[in-house]
Order: sequence, then structure tokens, then C-alpha cells
Amino acid sequence: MATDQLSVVFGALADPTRRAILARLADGPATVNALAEPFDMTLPAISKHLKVLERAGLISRGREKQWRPCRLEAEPLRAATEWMSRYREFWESSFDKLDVHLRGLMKGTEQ
Amino acid sequence: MTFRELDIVRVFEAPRELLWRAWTDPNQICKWWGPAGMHTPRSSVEIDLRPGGTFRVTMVADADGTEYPSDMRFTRLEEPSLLEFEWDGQRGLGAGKSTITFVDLGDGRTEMTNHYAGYLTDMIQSFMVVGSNQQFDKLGKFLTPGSGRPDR
Repeated sequence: MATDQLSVVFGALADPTRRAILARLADGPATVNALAEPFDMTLPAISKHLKVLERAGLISRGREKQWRPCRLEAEPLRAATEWMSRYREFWESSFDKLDVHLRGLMKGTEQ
Repeated sequence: MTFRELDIVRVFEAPRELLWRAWTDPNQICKWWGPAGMHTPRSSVEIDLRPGGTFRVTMVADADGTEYPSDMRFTRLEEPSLLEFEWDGQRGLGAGKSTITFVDLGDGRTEMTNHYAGYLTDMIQSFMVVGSNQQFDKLGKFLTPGSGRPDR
């Protein structure tokens, strides 16, 4: 996935309402009305959030005119998680080596 | 573009002066820089320890010898408590800034925080594929298309 697209995904994930919508969609597709229910928000406000999620590729919408269920798209989410996981792994793995190196130095000074 | 901020915190059984030297001495940084499956040749390390000075390392994959250069530049140096450097967006982990702080815990141990603030780059994608497939297998199981579930 292109870097800019990843940034769009992270931007979309930065909002708690949008994360809650994704959590709901993890249980299965839902209509805009159903998604709006748990929130104290107008339908246009929810629609705005859905547009952000759709642009990030995190959800897709059905083509039917009246009934346009939203569906979770897991791939961008996986890519975003992967980047963070790789970044963390890079340092954690380096710091394991640093830990061994420092222990060696400490042993040397004790003798 | 979106900014990412990430913290990695670790406690080491060593005084912070030792950590400071491990980060700033080319003879030491080559011993630990880079994840499992990578090594960093001493000859590739370049450290000009002053604000604006060069900080350059090249990791080499153990398996196939692929080189992954990182170009950085020191932006702040406060021995022995803080060092900060900027990554070159084209050659490195990210286009951003890493701030490494060392806190003396008073019992001979040091708490080190690695704070990153910056943009994302694709570089890490390419080189992290090497030594950490296990990690990704775990992740893949958790987030495969169809079973994806965000944090609640």
C-alpha cells in the first residue's frame, strides 16, 4: 500500500467515533441508520464519518439505492497495524541486542 | 499526510552514562543497531556528535547481504539524558524525529524512552520483512480479510 494511502488510513483511525463504527462493522454489515443509533449524532454527521472511512478504503458501501449497507474492509487496517508492528519490532529487536551488549559491559566492570 | 507518534519504553540494568555511550560511540552502536537477522558493519557507522552533525548507519541482511542505509542528523544532544535526531525521509525508518531520553532510576537502572514523531515511509516495509516473519504470522492470524476487528 502506498505511503499516502497509509496516512489517510491513520487519519481515519484517529477519531473515536470512526473507530467505534469500525468495531460495530466487525460484527457484520449494517445500514447507516443502524450505525447512527448508538451515537448522539445526526445522520449527516454519521454520513460524513462514513465518507472518511470509505475514502480510506476501510469500509465499502452496497450499490443498492435505498439499502446501502456498510461493510468493513480489513486490508487497509491490516496494513496500518503492520507498519506500526514493524516499526516496533525494529526497535524492540535492536534493544534486545543493546541489553545483551550492556550486560556484557557491566560484567566487565565488575571483574 | 498524517503524523504518527509512537513511544517505546525499556528499562536497562545499566547506568545512563553507559547507555549514552552505547548510542554515541560508533564502536558500540554497530554491536546492537538493527533487528534480528541484520547486522551493522562498523565501517558503515558515521557519527558526528554535535547538533546538525551526521548520524549514518547501514544495516545488512544476514541472509542475502541487502543493504539498508539510514541517514540521520542530530538535532539535540544533552549528555547523558537526551539525544534527538531527524531521519532522512528517503533513507531511513521514517520522515520524522526520534527523541531518546534516559532517566536515572536511582538504583543503577535506566529507563529509556524512544519517542518517534513523524510521517510514514515505505522503507521500513521492505527491510522489516526480513527477520520478523513470525511476528507477521501472528498478526496475519489476527487481522486477515474477513475476520478483521479493530481495537475496542
